[in-house]
Amino acid sequence: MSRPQRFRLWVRWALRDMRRRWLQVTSIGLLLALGVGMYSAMSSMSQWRTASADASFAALRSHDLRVSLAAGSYTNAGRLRAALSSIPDRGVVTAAEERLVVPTQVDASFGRRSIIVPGRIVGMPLPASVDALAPMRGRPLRPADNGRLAVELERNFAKHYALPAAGDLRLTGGTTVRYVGQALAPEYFIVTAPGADFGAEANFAVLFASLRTAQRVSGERGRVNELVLRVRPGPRNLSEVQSELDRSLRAALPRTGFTFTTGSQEPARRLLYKDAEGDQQMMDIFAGLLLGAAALAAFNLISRTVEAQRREIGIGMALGISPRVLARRPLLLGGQVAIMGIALGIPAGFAANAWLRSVMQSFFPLPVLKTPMQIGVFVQGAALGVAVSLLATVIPLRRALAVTPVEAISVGVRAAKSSGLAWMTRGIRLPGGSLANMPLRNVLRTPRRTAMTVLGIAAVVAITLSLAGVIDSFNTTLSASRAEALAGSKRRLTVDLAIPQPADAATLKAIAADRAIGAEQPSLRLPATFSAHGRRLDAFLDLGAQNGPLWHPMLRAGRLPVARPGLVIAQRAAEDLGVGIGERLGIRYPLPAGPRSYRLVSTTLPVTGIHTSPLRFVAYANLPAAPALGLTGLVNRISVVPAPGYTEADVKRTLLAMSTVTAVQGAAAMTDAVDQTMSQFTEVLIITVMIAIVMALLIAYNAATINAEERTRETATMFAYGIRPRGVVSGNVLEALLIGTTATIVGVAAGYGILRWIIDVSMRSTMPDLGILISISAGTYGLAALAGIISVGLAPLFTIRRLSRTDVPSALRVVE
Amino acid sequence: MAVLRPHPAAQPAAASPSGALVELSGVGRRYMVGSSEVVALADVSLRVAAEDLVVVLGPSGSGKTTLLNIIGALDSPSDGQVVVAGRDISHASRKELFAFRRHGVSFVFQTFNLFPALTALENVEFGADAAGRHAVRDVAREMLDRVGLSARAAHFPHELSGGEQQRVSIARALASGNPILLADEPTGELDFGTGIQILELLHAQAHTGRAVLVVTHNREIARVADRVIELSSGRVVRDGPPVGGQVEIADLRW
Repeated sequence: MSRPQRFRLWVRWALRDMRRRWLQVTSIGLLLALGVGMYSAMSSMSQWRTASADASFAALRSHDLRVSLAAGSYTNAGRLRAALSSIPDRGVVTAAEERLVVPTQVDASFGRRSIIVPGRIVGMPLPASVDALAPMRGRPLRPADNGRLAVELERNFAKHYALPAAGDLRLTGGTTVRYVGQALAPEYFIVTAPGADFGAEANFAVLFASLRTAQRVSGERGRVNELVLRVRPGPRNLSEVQSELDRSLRAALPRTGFTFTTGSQEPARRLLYKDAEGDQQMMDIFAGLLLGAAALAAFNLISRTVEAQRREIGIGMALGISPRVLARRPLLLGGQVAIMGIALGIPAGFAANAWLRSVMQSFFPLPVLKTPMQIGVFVQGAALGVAVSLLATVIPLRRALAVTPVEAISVGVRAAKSSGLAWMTRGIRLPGGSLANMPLRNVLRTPRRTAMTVLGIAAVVAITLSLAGVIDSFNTTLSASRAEALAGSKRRLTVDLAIPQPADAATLKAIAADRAIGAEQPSLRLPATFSAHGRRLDAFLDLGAQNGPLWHPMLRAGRLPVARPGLVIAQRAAEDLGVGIGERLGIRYPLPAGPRSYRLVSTTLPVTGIHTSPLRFVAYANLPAAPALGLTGLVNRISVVPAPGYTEADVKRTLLAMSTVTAVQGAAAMTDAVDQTMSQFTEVLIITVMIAIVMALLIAYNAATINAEERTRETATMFAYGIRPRGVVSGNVLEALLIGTTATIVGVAAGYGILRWIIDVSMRSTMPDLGILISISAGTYGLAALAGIISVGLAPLFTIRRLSRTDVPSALRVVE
Repeated sequence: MAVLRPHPAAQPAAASPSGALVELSGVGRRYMVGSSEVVALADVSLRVAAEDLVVVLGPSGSGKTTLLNIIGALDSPSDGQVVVAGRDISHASRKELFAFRRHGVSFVFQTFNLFPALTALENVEFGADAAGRHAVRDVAREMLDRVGLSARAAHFPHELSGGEQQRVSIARALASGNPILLADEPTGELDFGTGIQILELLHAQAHTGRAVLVVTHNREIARVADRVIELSSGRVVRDGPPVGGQVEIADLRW
């Protein structure tokens, strides 16, 4: 036979093999494809995020440094720029702009939908040379809009409520402004509620306006409170500018506190860059598990398929065919699976890419998106798929070629060269007859094969449990947070004032006297920085009566301070600061230093209790702490409940008209914001879980069909003895259930470990403000059981047709 | 070696009105192979009574295994009538055929077909279990004892020699207590000495109330049968005592 003829014979033979096994080859290929496709897409997320964020921040000339005056402080326009112009290193500052950022309440009610949320107006020069706006809908602001009641609405908020491209908004004090378009801005690529690192577009509206418009609307004419600047890249440029500007501002504004925030500290940047790393670690774990499960399963299934060719290899050996030639057919089978894996992996990869790209677009909406298919990562995954396929072929092939032809040919009679671990049950009488004992024996008979099937399924179960466990943990955490916030009354709202007022101020009296208000409880809320053992964290400190009628903190440890000054902080805050009950905590906070001016001062207070809220930045101090802080008798937040017959929306609408009120929101608004963010995150998790379950089904189906093929003679013997197909299938189902249950136990244990890592390590750094409570619901265990037990247990049912078509006489008479 | 007798719990052999355990009348079996028809059996009529040791002899392709499969309800005839243990299985439903195999016949295979995950004792238990017998462990122990393998009860098939595996296979068939034992080339995989042991077991069974049909192509084995049915091209070409008269198993040589 000539070489081309021989080649054609092998190809024909391989194609016939494939035709016989096309379903198996396709489903193993699909398994590999899912693993490789998901691996390449999930591994690409951080590269996409970084590339897209780089391009977006550069396109909008985002600031490198932001100077913000203490909350409630303002200064005359030009003073901040003047302070900058007096520093020695002013030459490295390429652009600087003053801004006015003021809180406000925004009524964006549209159609029949009532949308009243807190927000802020950002007044900036038009056009802005720092932190430019990316118009997304409607028209951009033009210099002609300077001073007019025209704004651009932040796109994430508008998109959340599906607002039209342009419309009217009512602001605190009753002012109506026209939003002419919707825009993205670098600081709000991800909208974060003040003090919290969470997406908050549902509950926070940002309006971009000309500086003069912002001054006009807020009543702060000629005033500013922020300076943003861009600094030429250089190793020490930014830190030197910051320290020189710090000195210059202290001299220029001696009675006013201010803070510096570098570009990399901005929450939106941090979430896009720093957290991309943590998120990617988590993604990598799941991508690795998906690929690992696919690889393990493919290895197991291919090697079993090649194992089935051992007798034919033996015949070839007996006929004197060289091992190199004999290796071709099994290798072609491995090659077919590998090619099928790659062929299906490319569309699977593109589909997974498209899905994750759309997830990223909704999670991190950026004006410039760079999400190319990461060919390198795909090739990496595909290479592993090919390597697994070939390795799974080569190992049993080497085993088959290592024996003498006689042994290889007689392999059928002595199909079980050993009983594996079945000896473990040798002396044990299991309940039921020999047929009932067979499933366990079969599981133990081929321990390596069982272990690989178990590991493949366990990896899928681990993914399912850990991902669904993340959702459960979020839900539990948010429920705890909501329960704590709404403990006094489910209808409680918080009303924030623009500046602290004396307890007997007219505004407070007006609020208390309003018909829509049923009851009220005043407090003072301060942005504060806690410090201990050299560690710091930002928080909101609520100063008020600890035994108020509408609400008071719920404790998980310690006690509520009553007579002496004391602090109640979050468990996560105590852990991060390394403090316990009874220890003193450093507090830096703004103290009124004059009209519209605050300075930052420091003091210490003892920690007397730990509250139940999982939000790290929530902290409380009692009224006796007020004198110690120099804040006696001041109020800037009022808890209220609507009067009977009034709704929360009525209260919001009523209080919106008061110029001193900047925000009216549900007491659990912060939790709702987190919930909103998590619901998008949940979607990603659910789809990943679904893919994992599809993989479990594929693994289970393949294992069941290969099992059925391998056990044809045993099945035929049972049929010859009158055992009906139902009995044989029941045994197979029981065997599969044993494997599935073992895999589920292993997977649940591994999944719990992964969940702990995600919550305790990964999310602790990516979501430091949320003390997530680890929780796994019954539904999640059910999902794990679905992936591991039910799918595997039911897979043998797919073999009923094949079993019922068994040619019993032929199967029984296979002469080996 | 102990003489094998039917287990007391074994079902009484239900003979046909003619007194035969197996009765075939005009049985034919045709297959379609591609577009051509293959006649495996044609117009086969025979009767086998209890206590008969019948050897079905013939070259490859003569139809002897097809005959065994039809008697064992693994296959159905294209023509004719098959009455086994008093039941007409010619046109039985699939469900009835399964039930018949549980309670009517037992098989011994050339390649043993033991379950590799079960010990020798458990393999024998399987036979009793499948037939719905009670006290299966006791039955299995007794059967293993009868085939001289009590000491190997806890061993797995791969730990047994070929002859031992075939003895376990016979014990499994006997444990069912069914009246008809069908053996398809039971010595085909065995050496001479072991083959003789197996024949002794089968021979002893035939004389304890069962009908034993052995399919083989080995003419020497046919010499120990009570009766030899020779097949050629699917037809019975001879049915009678062994040519040259019945001999003792000890006198066999091949």
